Amino acid sequence: MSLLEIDRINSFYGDSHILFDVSMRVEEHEVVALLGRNGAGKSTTLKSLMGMVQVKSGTIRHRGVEIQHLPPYARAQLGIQLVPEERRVFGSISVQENLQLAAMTAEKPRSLDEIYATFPRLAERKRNRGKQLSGGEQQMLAIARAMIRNAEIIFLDEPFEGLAPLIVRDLISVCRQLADSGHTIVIVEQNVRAALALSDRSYIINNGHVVYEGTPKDLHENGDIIERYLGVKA
Amino acid sequence: MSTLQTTTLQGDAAAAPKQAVNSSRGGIMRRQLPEMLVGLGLLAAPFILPVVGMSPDLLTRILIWGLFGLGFDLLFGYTGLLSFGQAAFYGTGGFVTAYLLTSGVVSNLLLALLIGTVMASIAGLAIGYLTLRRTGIYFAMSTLAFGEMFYFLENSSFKEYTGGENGIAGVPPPELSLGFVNIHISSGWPMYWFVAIFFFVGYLIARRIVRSPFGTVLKAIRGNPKRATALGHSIQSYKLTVFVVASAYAGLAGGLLGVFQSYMPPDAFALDTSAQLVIQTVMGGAGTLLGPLLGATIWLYLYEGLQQLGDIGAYWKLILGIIFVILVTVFRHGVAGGILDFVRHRRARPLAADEEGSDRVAGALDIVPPLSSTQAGSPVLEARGVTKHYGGLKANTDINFTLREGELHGVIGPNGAGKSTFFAMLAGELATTSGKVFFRGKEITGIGVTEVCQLGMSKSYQINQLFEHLTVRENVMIPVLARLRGKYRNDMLRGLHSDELDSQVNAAIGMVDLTRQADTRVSDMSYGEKRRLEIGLALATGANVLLFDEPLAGLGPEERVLVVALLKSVREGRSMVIVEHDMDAMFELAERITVLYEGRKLAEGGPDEIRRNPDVQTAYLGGMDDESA
Amino acid sequence: MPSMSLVFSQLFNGLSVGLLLALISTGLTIIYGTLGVINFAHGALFVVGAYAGYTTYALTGSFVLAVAGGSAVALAVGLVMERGLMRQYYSRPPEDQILVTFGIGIVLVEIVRGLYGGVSLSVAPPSWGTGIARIGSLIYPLYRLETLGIAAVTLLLLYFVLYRTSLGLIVRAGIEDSQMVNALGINVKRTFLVVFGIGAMAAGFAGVVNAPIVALTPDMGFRYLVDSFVVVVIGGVGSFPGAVVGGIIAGEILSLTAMINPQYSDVMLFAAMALVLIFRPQGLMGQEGRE
Repeated sequence: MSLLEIDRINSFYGDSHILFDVSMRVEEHEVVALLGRNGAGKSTTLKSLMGMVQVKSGTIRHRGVEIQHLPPYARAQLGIQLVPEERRVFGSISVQENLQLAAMTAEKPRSLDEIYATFPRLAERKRNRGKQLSGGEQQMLAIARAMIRNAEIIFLDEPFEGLAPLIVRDLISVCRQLADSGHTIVIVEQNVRAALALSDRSYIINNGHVVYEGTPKDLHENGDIIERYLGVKA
Repeated sequence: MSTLQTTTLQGDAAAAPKQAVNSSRGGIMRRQLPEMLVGLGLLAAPFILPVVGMSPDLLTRILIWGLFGLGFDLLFGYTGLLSFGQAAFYGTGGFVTAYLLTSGVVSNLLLALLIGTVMASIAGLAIGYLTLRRTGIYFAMSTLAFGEMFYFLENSSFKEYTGGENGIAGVPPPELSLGFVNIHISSGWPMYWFVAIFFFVGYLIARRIVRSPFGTVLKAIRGNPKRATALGHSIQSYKLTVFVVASAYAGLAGGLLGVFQSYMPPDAFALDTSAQLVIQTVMGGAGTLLGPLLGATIWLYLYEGLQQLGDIGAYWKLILGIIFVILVTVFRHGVAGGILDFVRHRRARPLAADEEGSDRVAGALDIVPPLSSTQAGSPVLEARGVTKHYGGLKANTDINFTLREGELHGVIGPNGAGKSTFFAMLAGELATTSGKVFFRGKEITGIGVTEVCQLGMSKSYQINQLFEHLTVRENVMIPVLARLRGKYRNDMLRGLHSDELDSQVNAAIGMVDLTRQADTRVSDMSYGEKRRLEIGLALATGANVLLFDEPLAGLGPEERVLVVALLKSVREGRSMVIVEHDMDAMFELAERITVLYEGRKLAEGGPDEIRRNPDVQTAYLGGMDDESA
Repeated sequence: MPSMSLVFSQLFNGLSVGLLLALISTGLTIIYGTLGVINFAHGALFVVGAYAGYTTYALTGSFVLAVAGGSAVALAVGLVMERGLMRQYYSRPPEDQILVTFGIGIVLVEIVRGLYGGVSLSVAPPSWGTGIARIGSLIYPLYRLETLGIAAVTLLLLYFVLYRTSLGLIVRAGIEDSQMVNALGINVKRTFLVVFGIGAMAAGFAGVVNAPIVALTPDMGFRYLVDSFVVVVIGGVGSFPGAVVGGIIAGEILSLTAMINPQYSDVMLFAAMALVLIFRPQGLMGQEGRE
C-alpha cells in the first residue's frame, strides 16, 4: 500500500476542468517530481491533494484511507503539508509568529532552535514581519513552516522559482536533508535539472493529463520525451 | 418564429424584414404586457381590493411606497447598489413640497411637486458623488450614515423650515388648476386616482429605462462591474445617474406623501423609512420593478391585519422581521422573483427570449476602423522599454515589443516570467514604472481599460469574466453598446433594439458559434461554451487589436481544437497577441513569438527559430545535462 | 469663548464616548476583517447586552454581575447567530450578508421590545460609581470617568488577546489569508465562531457599561450602529488600531462640537466622514482596496 494513492482525479476551478483522470502514487520516503510546462496542471495537482482545489471525481488515499472529502486543515493534521507556489507567508506577522502559527496543531513539532539552525537567515530576521522579507527569505520561511510541523509528506510547489542560483543551491541542500531525514516529498518544479537531481521518480503532466512516469535515469535515456513535453519541440 | 437565426454569415437581407415586421406586431403586445397588466390592476383595484378589507387610504399609501420603490429597485435590483439612505431624498422632496405649499411660496401643486423632486435629485447628486466613491459594504454604510445626517439636519439647522419634531402640518388639499377648470382632489378614492396616475407614469418610465441601452448597461454593472468597465463603459457615470434617478423617484413619492396626509412627518427622514423600503423591496423581489409595490402590500396589509388580532398586533414588526430573514435566506428573489423563477421553469422557451433581436439577420461584425490608415506590417501595438518594479520586486525590465498589422503574435515564458504583468501594461490597464506603450502611434500607457477599449483594443481573460445572470445575447450587447454609444450615454428612454445593434450582436454570436444558445443564461452553459463567449465579448467590442490571455485555459482536448480554429477564423482584419501555455497550439497559431524570462525578453522570432533557440530551451528546462551544484 | 474647564471636561467626555465607540467598532471591524461580514445587527447586540445587564442587575443587585450577564447573553446570541445563520452566508454576496444581519437586528430589537416594552428604563450606576470626581478644577461625573477607565482597560485586554495570544495570532493571520491558515492545520471555521462571539460580546459589554449613562430604549442601538459605521469608515475597515483611533476622533468631534452648538454635533461627525471619503476613501488606517 502506497503512502499516497491518487486514482483518476478530476479537478476544477469553478467549472474549468483542469485535471483529467490523473492517477499517481507516492511511496514512503520517496521524492517524487511533477514536471511539465506551466499551465499543465502540476500546481493544481498539489492543491487538489491538499484540498484547496475542488476534486469532483476520483479518490485520494492516505495509507488506504480516503481523504478527498477532508478539508485542508484535517489533511494538515494527518501530516500532509503544502508549501504553495506563491509562498503565502503572512506579511503582517513576524517570522517567529509565522512559525509559531504553523507549529500550533502539529503532533510532534520541531523546535524553533532546530529551524533557526537550519535557516540562520531566518534567525536573524525573526522579529521582522513577513512582508519585509526578500523573496528568498520568504521561500525559506514557507519551507520552514512545513519543517516545523514535521509533516510526513511535504508538497513543494515551485520552491526555486524566481530565486538567485546561490539561494537555490542552499534550498536544494535543505530539501535533500528533509528527504534524507525521512520526509516524503512531492516537488513541482519547472527547473528540470534541480527537480531531477532531487527526485527518485517523476511524472510528466501535459494539459491536465499524466503522460509519463519514470526515474531520472529513464528520462535521461529518453531525451526526446523531455523535449516533447517540457521544452520546445526540435 | 423565424428560422433565420441559423444564418451566421452575410445573410440574406431581403427575406428578413418581412418576417421581422410580422412577429414584431405580435411582439409589441407581448412586450407591453406588464404595462397593460399594471394599468388594468390599478383600474380594477378600487373595485376588488376593498373586498379583502383594503381601504383607499391603504392603497394610496401602498402606491406611494411603490413609487418610492421603483427608483430604489432601479438602483438596487438592477444596478446592485444597496443604499440604506434613500429616506434622505424622500424627506427632502416631501418637506420642500410641503413647505412650498404651506408657506404659499408656490401654490401650484404640480409645480411644488416638481421643485421638490428637483431638490431631491440635487441632494441625490451630492450624496451619490460622495458615497459612490466606494462600493459594496462601504457604500451601504456611508449611505446609511448620510441618511441619518439628513435626519439630524431636519431637526436642527433646518428646523424653522421643517418644523423639527413636529413636521409640517396643514398641507393644503390638492387642487389642480388646469387653466379652465379647477379639480379638487378630496381624500379617499379621488386621492387614490391622483396618486395612481403618478405611479403609472413612473412605472412606464421605469420600464422604459430598464429596457433601454442605459438600462442594459446597469444590469451589466450589477453582474460584473470590472468587465463592464473593460468593455468600454464608464460605469461611475452610470451609477451616479441611476442614483439621481432613484432620488428623484424618492422625492416625488415624499411630496405625494405630504399631500396625501396633509401632513409631512419628520420620520420620513428616519432610518426606519430607508429600512422599510429595503425590506419591502427584498420581500417583494428586487429587480422586478413591482417588487417594492408587492412588498409594500405585504407589509402594510400585514401591519393592519395584525393590529386587528389584538395581542399579536404588538408583535407585527417581529413577525415581519422573521419573515424577512427567512425570505432572504431561502427565497433569494423575494415573492415576485419566486413567481418569475417558477414561471421560467415551466415555460418551454426561456423567459428572456428576445424575439425582436433574434429576428434580425446577422451581418458581418464591424471592426472599429483604425484611427489612421495603416498597411499590413506596420506597427500597431508597441511597448518601448517597458519596466514594472514593485519596490524590490522586478516584475518586468526593459521590454520592447511590437505587434504588426494583421499579425498573430504569441507570448510565452515560464512561470514567474512576468507575462501577466506585461500583458496588463500592454492592455493599458497597468501603469509602467518606466517605458511607454503605444497603440497606433498614440500613447496609451496606463490610460485605463475603458479608454483603450474605445480606441479599438480589447482583452479576453484567462478566467471567464462574463455576466452570469444575463443571456448570451445580453452579454454580447454590452460591448456592442459601448462601441455604438461611447463610454457613457444617457439614453434612458430610448428603445434598446436597432438594426445596427442587433445585426452586430448576432454577427458576434455567430462568430463564436453560440447562435443556438443565444437566449440561454450564461450560468446554465457549459465551460466550453462560456469560454467561447469570453472570446466573443472581446470580439464584439469591434476591436481591431485583440489580446488573449490563455484562451485555452481549462479546455479539454477536443475543445482546444475548436477554439484554435476559432482564433484562426477571426484573424481577418485584426491583429492579435496571445499568451498561452499550450505549446502545440501556440506553434500552430503564431507567426511570431516573444519569449519572456525572469521579467525580460529572452528571445523573439518565428516558431521554428524559437523552438531551436538554445537559450529558450535552457530557460524552460533549466539545462539538461549539468549536474546541480 | 468657552472656559478651560469646559473644554477639558468636553475633551474627557469625548475620550469617554470615543473609547466606548472604539470598543463597539472594534467588534464590528474585526468581524469584518476576519469573516468579511459587516454585521448590521451590531447595534442590536449592544441593546441585547444592555437589557440583559438590566435584568441581571435587578436580580442580583451587583453591577459587576450585570456586566457579566449582559456580555454573556450577547456572546450567546452572537454564537447562535454565527452557527445558525451566518455560516451559510460566507459565500454569498456582501449585499445578502448585510440584509440578513439587518433582518436579524430587527428581530432582536423586537424581541427586546416584546420582553421589556418600549418605555425607557434606567439603570442606576453602581455604588462605586455614584457621585462626582474632582480633577483639579474639573468636576466630572464619577461613573463617566470610570467608563473611560473600563473601556480603556477592555481595549487593552482586546489588544492583548489579539497580539499576544495564539487565538489572536490565528485571527491576525486569518484576516490576511484564512485559506492558508486552514492549510496549516487550523480549523478556521471554529475560529470564525469565536471571533464573531467576541465581537458580539464586545458590543453587549459596551451596552451594559453604557447603561447607567443613558435611558434604555429598544431603538437606541441604531444610533450606535450608525456611529460605529462612521468610525469604521474613518478608521479603516479591518483595522483594530483604526477602530481605536477612529473612535477617539469621533468621540472628540461629537463632544467638542457640542460645546459650540449641540444641534450640529452629529452633523459634524458625518461631515468628517464625508471628508475621509473624499480624500482618503480607504480610511485613515485601512488597506487600499479592501472592499
